Amino acid sequence: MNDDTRISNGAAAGGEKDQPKKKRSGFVRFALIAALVATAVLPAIAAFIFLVALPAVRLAGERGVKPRAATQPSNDIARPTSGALERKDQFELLRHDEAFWSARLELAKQPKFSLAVDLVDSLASLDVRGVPVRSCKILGIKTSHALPFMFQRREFRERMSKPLQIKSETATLPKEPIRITFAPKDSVEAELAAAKPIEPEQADVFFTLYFDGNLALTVRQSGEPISSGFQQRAKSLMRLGFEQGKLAARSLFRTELPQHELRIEVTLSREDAKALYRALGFNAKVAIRV
Amino acid sequence: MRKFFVPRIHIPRFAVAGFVSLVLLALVVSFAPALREWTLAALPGPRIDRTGDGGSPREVAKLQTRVRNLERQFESLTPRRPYLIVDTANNRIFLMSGRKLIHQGICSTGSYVLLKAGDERQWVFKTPRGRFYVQKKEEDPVWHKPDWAFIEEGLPVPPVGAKERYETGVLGDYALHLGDGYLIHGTLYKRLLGMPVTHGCVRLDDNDLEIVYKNLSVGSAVFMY
Repeated sequence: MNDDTRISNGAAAGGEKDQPKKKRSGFVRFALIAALVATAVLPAIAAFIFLVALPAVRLAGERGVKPRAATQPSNDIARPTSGALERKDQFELLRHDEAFWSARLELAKQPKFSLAVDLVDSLASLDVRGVPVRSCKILGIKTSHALPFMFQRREFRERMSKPLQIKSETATLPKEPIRITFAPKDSVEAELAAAKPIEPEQADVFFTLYFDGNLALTVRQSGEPISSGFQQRAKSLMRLGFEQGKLAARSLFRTELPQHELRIEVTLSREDAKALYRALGFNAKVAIRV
Repeated sequence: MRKFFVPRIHIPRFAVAGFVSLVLLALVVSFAPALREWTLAALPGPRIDRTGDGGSPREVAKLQTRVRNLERQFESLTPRRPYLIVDTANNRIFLMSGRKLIHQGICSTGSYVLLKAGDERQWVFKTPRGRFYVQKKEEDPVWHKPDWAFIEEGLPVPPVGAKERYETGVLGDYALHLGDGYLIHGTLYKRLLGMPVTHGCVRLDDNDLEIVYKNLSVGSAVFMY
């Protein structure tokens, strides 16, 4: 008996019985396919509606003040700006300006360094006791598309009018570049240690400050990274993405519409960005004028 | 003809659909913020509320005046007499009068070295941050060497008051005392200016030091960040 015969006999004796297959009706087949597709796709569609479409449409449906040109995202989408602001809009924006300067005066009472980011005049200022010790020209501004819509809400404008406290931060450079050295045993060892060349710091500057209410301010240096900045920046962006994903999952489980994330990204020169990051202590406060 | 043995794997179809569903769900959740951004970008734009009272011209004018007053109030916090700003991140100094720059130069500031001695003592050499005042001005300053100055050279630490504790000529022609042992002074190591190499003090070039010394007085503010 050859192999082929043994296999075919085995199949006939103990394996599948050769029965005629029942033909499924077209309707049943269609229902099965529809059920499979629905199982695969419906949860994702529901999540899309809950996490993306509903919040966006709800935000877009609100009415409010016409934002200034600086609050328009400066990336690819160009929004039309029509002529002079109406008096009502001017009044609201002046109130916001009043609140911004009041916030800076309030921060001047504290001994710590604070940051004032003026997106209207494109200036970032490091203040201590009301003295702007470093004024930096903002070379580029990018904001979330949600900003012009969120600006319509009075409570948002009021929130942005007060100093914001930094809750956490990520950065591509250390706040204090501490180097540990052990005392030399004798003067010969000390001379050898002193003869070592001092390597200048080459860290790229890219940092993000996180505030309450899903707001984040990112400061990046102008120009391309010069060292391992790509890696550090990628890590920082991944962390940002992970935090966002976590918030989205949380709102899905709690069946609450997610908070809109507001991202403001400013570009400064490398020296300015480095100086600002090193000067700001943990939990420092920031005033933002939009 | 030779037959190849092909195993028949039965995978429940709904399990596959469930797996696909999970993957799609994870993608939507992960990219929800970006998708929201794209959706908002595609929408026509915020709708402006033209109803309700918006402030009369008089109210707008009053508010403009209030904003200007606040700006002036903020500006008045800047010292009128000359003050110094030290940028430790980039090792630069700026001598200011009001909002006007009088002079700028390079300096050396703290090295951020943490020196650990064998007896569990340690020192961090960093320039402090904040607002300080010039407490004392000195010509031809003498350096009172602290313990770490001997430890980091591998030398035995002499008793307090010993003549080895005093060194002349290393701090330049002038020194401005800021308190807690921190000084603005000159240096012999001109080639190291612009680098973070000091033990916390601010080292200046001879020319910059003279200008700073002559423009600042006791009580002048020094801002270091």
